[in-house]
Amino acid sequence: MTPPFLNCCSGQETEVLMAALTVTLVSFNAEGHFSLANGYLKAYVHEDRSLRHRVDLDLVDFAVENHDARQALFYLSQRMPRVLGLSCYCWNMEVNLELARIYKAVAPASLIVLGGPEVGPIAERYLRDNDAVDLVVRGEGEATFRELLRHLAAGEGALEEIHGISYRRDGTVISTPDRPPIADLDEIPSPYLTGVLAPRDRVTYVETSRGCPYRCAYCYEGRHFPGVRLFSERRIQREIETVVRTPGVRSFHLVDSVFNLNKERLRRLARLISEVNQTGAQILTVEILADLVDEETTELLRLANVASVETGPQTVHADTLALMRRPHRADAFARGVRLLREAGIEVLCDLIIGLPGDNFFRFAQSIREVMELRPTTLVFSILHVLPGTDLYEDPPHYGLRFDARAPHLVIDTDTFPFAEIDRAVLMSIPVAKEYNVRLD
Amino acid sequence: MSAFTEPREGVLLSGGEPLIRSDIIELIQAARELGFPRIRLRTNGTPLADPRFLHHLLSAGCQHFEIKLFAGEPRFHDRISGVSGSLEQTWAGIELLRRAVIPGRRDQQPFVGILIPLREDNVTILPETILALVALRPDRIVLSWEIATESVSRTLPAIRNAVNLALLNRTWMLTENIPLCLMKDLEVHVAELYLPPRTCHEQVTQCRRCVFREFCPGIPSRSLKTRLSQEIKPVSTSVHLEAIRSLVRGRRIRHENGYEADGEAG
Repeated sequence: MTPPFLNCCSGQETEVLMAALTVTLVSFNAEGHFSLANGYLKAYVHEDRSLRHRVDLDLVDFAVENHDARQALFYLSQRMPRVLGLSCYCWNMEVNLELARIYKAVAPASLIVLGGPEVGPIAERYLRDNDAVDLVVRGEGEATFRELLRHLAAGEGALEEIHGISYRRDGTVISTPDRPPIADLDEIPSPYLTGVLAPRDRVTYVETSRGCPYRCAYCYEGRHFPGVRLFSERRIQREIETVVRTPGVRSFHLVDSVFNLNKERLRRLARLISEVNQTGAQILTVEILADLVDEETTELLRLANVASVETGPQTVHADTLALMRRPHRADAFARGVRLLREAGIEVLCDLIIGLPGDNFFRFAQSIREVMELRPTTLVFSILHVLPGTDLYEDPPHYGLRFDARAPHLVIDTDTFPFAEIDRAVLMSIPVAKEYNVRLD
Repeated sequence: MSAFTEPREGVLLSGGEPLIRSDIIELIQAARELGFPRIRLRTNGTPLADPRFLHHLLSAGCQHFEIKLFAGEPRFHDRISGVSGSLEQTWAGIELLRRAVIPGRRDQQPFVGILIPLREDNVTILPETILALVALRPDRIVLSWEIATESVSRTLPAIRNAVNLALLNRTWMLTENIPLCLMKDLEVHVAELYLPPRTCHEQVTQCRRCVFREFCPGIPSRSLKTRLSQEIKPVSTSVHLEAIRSLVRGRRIRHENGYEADGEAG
């Protein structure tokens, strides 16, 4: 079967050139949040003068907990976009596929494009298993998606020349070569500075870097985006300025895999943030490595008005951490958490249930030892074996079995039977609540 | 009962029935001023059915509740509590608690645990009690062994069944005062393994040959001369042994008979 998108560039291309190509990017997010990823895509597309009048692109956000495919379909049926883009994560795949399936039936000539970390690493599988899906953008999406729209709206180049996509042609799934990540992140226009996204209190994310220097076996970032790429300090400054000057915005988040990785950069960013943050807006979350925290770090975080930080350790067991290749020095971690608490910065500690090498009582020991550090908040989550991670690529090596369907929950490991993982999850819910409900 | 958390992290108001004190709100406020981050209340729950009183408790700083309940049916619960109509009120209190939010924190609800003292006269109704309770979605249920005379081998199936019913309904359950040998394969539900160090109950001669002896809750003294002590069989091996030993490492456990075990010793 010839995919509909090929028609766009052959039989109907004149019509497409005459009228703007309608594109809708849908994202199912955590309640109240909006998709920064789709904001980047729109900002990057709009920067292209040749596309500005050829593409009519809108973004729409839904809450994965409270909205369903029918509501998204109502929206789409009003607009009937030619291209439907879905932002895919392990937590919204079910609704995304339902939406793709039904919208394809409603609008058979539409092109349904998936992108995001859930689909990029296993693009061909998603295309093989889902007839409604026409194309998958793999890896970092901005440049690839813009090239795709140039092809669709302006007839530029051939589809097979666009790097970083997988698609179906005559029943065969084709993948073009990978596209390297964008070297200079400032090439991507800011969705906040361009007015694509309007900052809102508590749910605005300012990205300061991409990539991670570490390569934890359960994480996607370090494996696919090794090395850290930074947004320029000037760009970060302007974004934060815009965010904090937005009426009603009293807090925002930073996106940075390890905010305190480089002390010198932390010094510069802390000073920069404190200078532009004239309204005293708080930074609600930023990920750090507690192991690297010293007295100066806590002072700098306070200078940047960081209210809370998120850190591991995921498990306290050295052998499991070594197997996961996660850096961890128990004494330094404990000291870091203590210093942060003493500085009045809230500390959120994460533990993962079901890591290879762990078992029920080892998980319980992790809880006990992390609680003894007195973090502000404990967060437990069952292991999600995410596509593109080492765990996903080589489960036998880790003695691991997991659900092939998103959200890819661990089923069992050689050391952690299914029934024990299930009990650990059930135990973790009241333990987290009992701990996290506390007086200020 | 507070799984995992250390004593100085919280204070437990217990009794008797702490809510009959006219100064309970002042006591909670005092505990709050002393800096306790968690103030727990163990109560029969009947006064919680009054929404205004509950609001006062929550506002004063009591946000962790453990409701003591004997059975899910009035003819059992009211007979044991000695107060006609008490289950209805306790139930209304739990329902109200489950709907309550902490004043000033719209997204946070109080912690609601249920404590079921397990006795000769409520064991038979235990499955019905669990099924009625899970419908209220408590955060956790604790079964506390208070039986002095009943045979363990007759009671244990009821406990195992209760644990499974709770899990089936996605509610976490712990047991108290039940020796580990009797909880074989259900060790993960033994509350004492997660508690800070404290005095444990008696051990009997057979216990000296048991791999769990270092961290077993032991047998309540009142059960020593009952069939419970005769039914104790030492456990010779367990897949959980090393991990449990590691979990309780460094905690000295003192038994009522003076026997002292160190988590690291074994």
